[in-house]
Amino acid sequence: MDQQEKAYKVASTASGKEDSPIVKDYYEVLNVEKDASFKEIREAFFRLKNTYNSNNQALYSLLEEDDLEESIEDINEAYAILSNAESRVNYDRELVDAKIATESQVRHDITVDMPTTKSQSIGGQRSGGTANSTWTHEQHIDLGFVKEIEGAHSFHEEVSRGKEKRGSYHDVNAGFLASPRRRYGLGNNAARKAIAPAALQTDIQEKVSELIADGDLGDGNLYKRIRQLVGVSKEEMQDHIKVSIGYIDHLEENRFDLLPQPVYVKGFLKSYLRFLGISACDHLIKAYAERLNDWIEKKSS
Amino acid sequence: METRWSTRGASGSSLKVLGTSRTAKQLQNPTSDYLHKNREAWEAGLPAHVGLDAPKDIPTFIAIGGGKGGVGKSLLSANVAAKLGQAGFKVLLVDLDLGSANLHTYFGLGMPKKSLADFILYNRSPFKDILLPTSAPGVLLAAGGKDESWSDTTDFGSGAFVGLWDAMLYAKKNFNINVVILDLGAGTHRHTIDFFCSAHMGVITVLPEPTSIENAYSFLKATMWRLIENAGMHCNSCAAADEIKDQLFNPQKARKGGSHMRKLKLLHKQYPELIDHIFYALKGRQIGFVVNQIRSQRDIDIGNSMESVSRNYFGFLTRSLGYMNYDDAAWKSLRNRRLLVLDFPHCILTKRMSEVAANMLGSLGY
Repeated sequence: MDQQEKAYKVASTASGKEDSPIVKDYYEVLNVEKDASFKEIREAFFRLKNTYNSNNQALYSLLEEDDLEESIEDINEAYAILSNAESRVNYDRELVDAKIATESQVRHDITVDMPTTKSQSIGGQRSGGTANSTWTHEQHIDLGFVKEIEGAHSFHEEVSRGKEKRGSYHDVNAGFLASPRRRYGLGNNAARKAIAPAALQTDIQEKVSELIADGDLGDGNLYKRIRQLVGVSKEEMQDHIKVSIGYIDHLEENRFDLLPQPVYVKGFLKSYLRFLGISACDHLIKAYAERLNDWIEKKSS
Repeated sequence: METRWSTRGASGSSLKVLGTSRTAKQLQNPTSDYLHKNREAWEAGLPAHVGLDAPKDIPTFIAIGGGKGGVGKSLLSANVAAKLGQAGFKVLLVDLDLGSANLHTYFGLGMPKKSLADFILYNRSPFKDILLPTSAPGVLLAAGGKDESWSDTTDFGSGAFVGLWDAMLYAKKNFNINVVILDLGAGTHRHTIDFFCSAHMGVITVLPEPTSIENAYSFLKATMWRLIENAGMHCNSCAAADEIKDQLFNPQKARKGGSHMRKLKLLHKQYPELIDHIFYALKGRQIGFVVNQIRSQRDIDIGNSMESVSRNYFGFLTRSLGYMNYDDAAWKSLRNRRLLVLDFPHCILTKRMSEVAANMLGSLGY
């Protein structure tokens, strides 16, 4: 057999990944199958967390501090995205797109059939996952995988019923794709602390305080007016505070019957007001929550 | 296959664990489809002097190394060989710790009259004559030979081992030997790494200590280095192989940070054929880990961690094969001049040896 032929036996897609759309394979990071269940993902995560730990003797001399930190970051990020049903669906969709893009290359599966052995699970640390180890640089895609994703998606839509259209990843986030967490629709603390730029202007701040001084603090309409004054659209608000447009609507229109538990509403309102530059917002939230609680009491009685 | 090699919860003698499900016929000629299927991948990483005209039916090679001295390489080799022999395999144990060979002592044998030195250096004995029967059934030993005779020829090339490899590759045909266990010396000498690269399974023995772990990784790096060189030779592109080695190992040229695997993937664009060949060669061999002298669960975990870390870092097919307890039986049996698994057949260390042996067989598809 000549060398070239041999070479083709190995998946040649390994390089493709570094090309155009750079999508990190989080499944590879966690060393799990594409259709791994949540439980498997979680187990893999904890196993890796234990492994890539600066106290772990087994890493001595192999990994530099930077490498280690990077690995840990990768693992955390992979888990954050794959453990959330919604962000996983978004991510999977992009992974498929990226792979179709690189599919034009010759592709051969080289799943290495390691003979299965009873992996002597010492102290219950390992699952059998390593027994059938697939070669890590292989890119594997088939129709079943796509179906799986469709299935997961419809499941997800059922779960988030009532949230209304949450703006799919493609149209909403097309512009800024900096952080993977944000990219796959997963909130992070930094985003919650963001403030709309206009809210920092003093004249707008004055107008906002006037509105608050005159307005009815328990009324969602007031907040709508503040938002419009600052010049933030519902879509922008959704992106930044990671609360769906549906809830923003209900909150502003006082549709208490469609809002979730008061504790969540308080959280929503807090990040909502923060984004509009109102950091001392406790009394506003309290007033709104009182109104909401009154309505709940009235309804139950 | 999973249950057949189950080693957990098995009561009774370890011999039973290894042997129960085999018929007499299977024992006479055990075969592994896995090795058969991966023959070409295995050959892709061999050094030039190995397997030039290997027969179709070759024994399975298991090399036991680990970089540091005193980590239990010989202890593991001798006892695993005995365990495999008990399971019905015909095992050839080769003492390749040239210059400080002492594997014969583990079997309670004195310095043998005929040894590898006679075969390799002086060319005065045929291979058949240096195979010594041992106290363990089914195990033949090729002793390393008088120490001083090796020091005379410290710097001989790989060519000196062509004859040895030939003899070992034909051992199945000539002597019906199924498994050849290569007991390597300490350090990362060129010959040691050559033997390690050429085995179907390379076993790294480590102690739960930073020094040993550090040496284990440098040993693996040396293995990687050699595999890249071998791949370059197979692809007729040694210059490209040198460039890749520079990118991976030369601190001045290499990119900072990142695993070897990642660097290789990045280099794939530049040298697609060669990198593919390297991946192919990596796929053709397995790296096993055995942690010796464990005293706690944390020590055991080191083997599992090293398995997953080196798989991600180097791209080897890795396996944690088991562990060996810290046990007085090890030195007691040595002082008794008897092999551990025969001297203390019921001690915990013997049980661990069976587990390691069973995991090796399972990994190799037997």
